[in-house]
Amino acid sequence: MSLNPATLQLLSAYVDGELNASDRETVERALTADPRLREVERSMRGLGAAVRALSEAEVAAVDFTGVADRVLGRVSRRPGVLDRFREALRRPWLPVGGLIAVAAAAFFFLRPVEPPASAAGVVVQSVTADTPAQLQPVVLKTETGDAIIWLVEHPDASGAHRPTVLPNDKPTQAPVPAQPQRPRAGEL
Amino acid sequence: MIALTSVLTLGVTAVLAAGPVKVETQVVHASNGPAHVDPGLEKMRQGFEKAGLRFSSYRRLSQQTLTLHPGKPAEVSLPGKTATLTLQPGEHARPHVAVSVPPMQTTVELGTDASAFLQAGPHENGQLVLVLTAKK
Repeated sequence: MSLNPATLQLLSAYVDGELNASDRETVERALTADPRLREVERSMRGLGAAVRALSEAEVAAVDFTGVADRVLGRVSRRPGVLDRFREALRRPWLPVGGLIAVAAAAFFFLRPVEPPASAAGVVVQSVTADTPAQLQPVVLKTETGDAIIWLVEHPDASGAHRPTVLPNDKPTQAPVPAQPQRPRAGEL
Repeated sequence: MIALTSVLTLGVTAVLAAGPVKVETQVVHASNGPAHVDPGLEKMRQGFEKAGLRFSSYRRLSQQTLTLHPGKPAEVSLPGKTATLTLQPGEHARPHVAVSVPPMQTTVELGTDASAFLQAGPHENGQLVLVLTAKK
């Protein structure tokens, strides 16, 4: 058996005890016949022993005391849902905060529904005037929800009156367009 | 716990309902003098015109924001007279304001996107108008 890489690989496997019976017998025959191969085999066994001895010495020098505790200490142990709930209940702010949240939710759900301001606009609930009989206050609603409260001479019961103003201050009379939001008779 | 929740809910509701209200007041002189509309009064002019009240001049004489507290009258000065505004107490979705501007007395429910225009009497060949708008 010549000393080629394949032979050395086979010899290494033999030293490590990894060969089957047939290969082991082949190698042993070669070792018997070739003194150079025996020399290599001794060197291999010596090197392996030295490596093992060195590894054992390194392992012996390492202190593994408390390693398990340190590892377990680094692992975050999450408590169960029930434990976390119990822990939260022990905090004083949670019941108070929960009550406030419930109260706020109840307020928003139970409050009276307010119509949009743009839809309702200004609502005149009552209006009176200490004026002569021929002058009466009326409410004129604009398209944008505004309310004009104005004194009118002899307001028409149908509501189709034309607003006028006090003497000496009459504005230019303009044609009164159709006012779908104009107050109906008796609305005031 | 239910009782405490109810108390908190009612308390929050009462606090919100009884709070003060800010109302912007303007005193506008509408007349048929030289054509002029102060900034911010164009919407008023258009509304008046559509209602059949056509003035050529709209001038703002004063403007202020009042903080109204329920039941406490607040005054607005106009040329030659004073208007009194009183926030009506009680729980209302929107502020109810009683307004006395001689010779009229009225109660209006104000909104933030609309205004109440009250005729406040003659002044210098025109009419005074008290404008009320609830502020957000």
